[in-house]
Amino acid sequence: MVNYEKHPDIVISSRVRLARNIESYPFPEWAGSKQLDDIKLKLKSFSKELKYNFHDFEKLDNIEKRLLAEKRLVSPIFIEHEGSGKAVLTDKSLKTSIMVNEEDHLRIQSIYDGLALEDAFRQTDKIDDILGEKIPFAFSQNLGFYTACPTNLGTGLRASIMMHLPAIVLTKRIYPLVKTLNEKGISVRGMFGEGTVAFGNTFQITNKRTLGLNEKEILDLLNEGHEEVLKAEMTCRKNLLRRDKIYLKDKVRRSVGTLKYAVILSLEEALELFSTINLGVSLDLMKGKSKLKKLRDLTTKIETAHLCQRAKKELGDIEEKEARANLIRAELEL
Amino acid sequence: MFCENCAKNLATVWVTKIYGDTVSKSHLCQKCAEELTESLTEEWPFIFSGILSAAFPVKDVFKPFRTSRDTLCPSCKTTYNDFLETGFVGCPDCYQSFSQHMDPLIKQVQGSLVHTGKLPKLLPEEMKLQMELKRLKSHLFGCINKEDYEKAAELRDEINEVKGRLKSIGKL
Repeated sequence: MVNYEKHPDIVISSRVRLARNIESYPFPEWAGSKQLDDIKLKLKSFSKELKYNFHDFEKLDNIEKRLLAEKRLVSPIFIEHEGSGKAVLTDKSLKTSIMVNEEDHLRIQSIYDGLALEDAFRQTDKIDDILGEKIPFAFSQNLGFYTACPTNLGTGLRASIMMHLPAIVLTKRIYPLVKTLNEKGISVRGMFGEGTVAFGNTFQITNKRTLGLNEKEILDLLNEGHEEVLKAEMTCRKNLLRRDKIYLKDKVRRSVGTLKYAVILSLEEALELFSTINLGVSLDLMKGKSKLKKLRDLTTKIETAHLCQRAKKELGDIEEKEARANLIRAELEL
Repeated sequence: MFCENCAKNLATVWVTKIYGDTVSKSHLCQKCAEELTESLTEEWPFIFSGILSAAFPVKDVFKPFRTSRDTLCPSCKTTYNDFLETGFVGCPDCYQSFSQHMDPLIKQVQGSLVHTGKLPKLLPEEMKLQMELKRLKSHLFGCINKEDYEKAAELRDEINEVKGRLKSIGKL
């Protein structure tokens, strides 16, 4: 068992998502707006029982929608794609959400910090049972839970672990790692999920298959996969330190300098700098363990809608970059 | 087949390169494949981070399954080609309507056509009974193999009871 307490920045969070659809309705891409509104109303009726907040997307403005995506309660596709009947139910802790009429009628999702797939699964499973007592899900003996895309059939379960892998990227070992994981049935995606790029050396590992495996097998697969990735990152960190310590130290110190003095910062650049600092602290190349939690929280706070919310208005491109640089400087006390 | 690069060793690695609309295939030996991987990573260290997470939309995965004979789903009126265009099937019945095309596609993408996970709470009576029947028959087979005829007899009675219930709902 790898001891990663020395490197708490590697495993960021664990997510479980279940896809479910209601019998006798077409899938959201093909359903009529009246049908989608019916489904939305059905789910609204659960908000009291679950004690969840109900957000009707038609009533939200752009900043509010983006905030939900930045908090990872809905996917980026959900806010980009036009369509009727869209809504999301969220719990008070903002760990669990139920998206209504994204790709499927229902997407139940739970995110926990660190390595916690079992906790995330238990939560989504509980919600699935509560909804399933009253909603007839589209299901078949052979293909399991029916989904809009065949890649989600069966369990409808997508488990993923978000991992920060700067050393693997710096030592150019990402491609062989992806290949190895693919062979084991694990795919690697960018930090915002399917179709996104890997900002700040952050990747999501997730199961490829959802049919023919049961739920426990999928969670075990991810847990084992994560161990392998963890070992690879630790090995690459050791090698980097052995071979390139002076260059790393230089890179780390320059990153602090940029964060301290930059007037404008893009999200991409900021996340790249955070990544270098996380690596620097975990390799004892700089002090700052006490600021790591703040750094982690900042990752969300520096996103567009969060900055707009803070400023209480829509921000232009340069305004946003300036606000980001200022916030980072203030929060990290640089 | 020999390695296309060195022509010395057997080709054990098949590489498919997709760049925009161009697809090229090579057959290489382990050594040449590793060298190719190294050189690719050196050329594009960070582009790989982008490619990893799929600049390829999921629906492109289904393109090889195109067919000239289209099929219509009577429930939702979408066609199999509609699915290939969007990556989304019209309704749950489509899986049955297009099963001739979907089954091999699902087998390819998922590696299986048999669900082994959780069952929904509201399972239709017929399905519950069918699954119970399957389970009992499998158990019966096991008992006969182990020559546990007493248990086998009990199971046979249970099987008949389930068959009776299926008959009563007109599903046998």
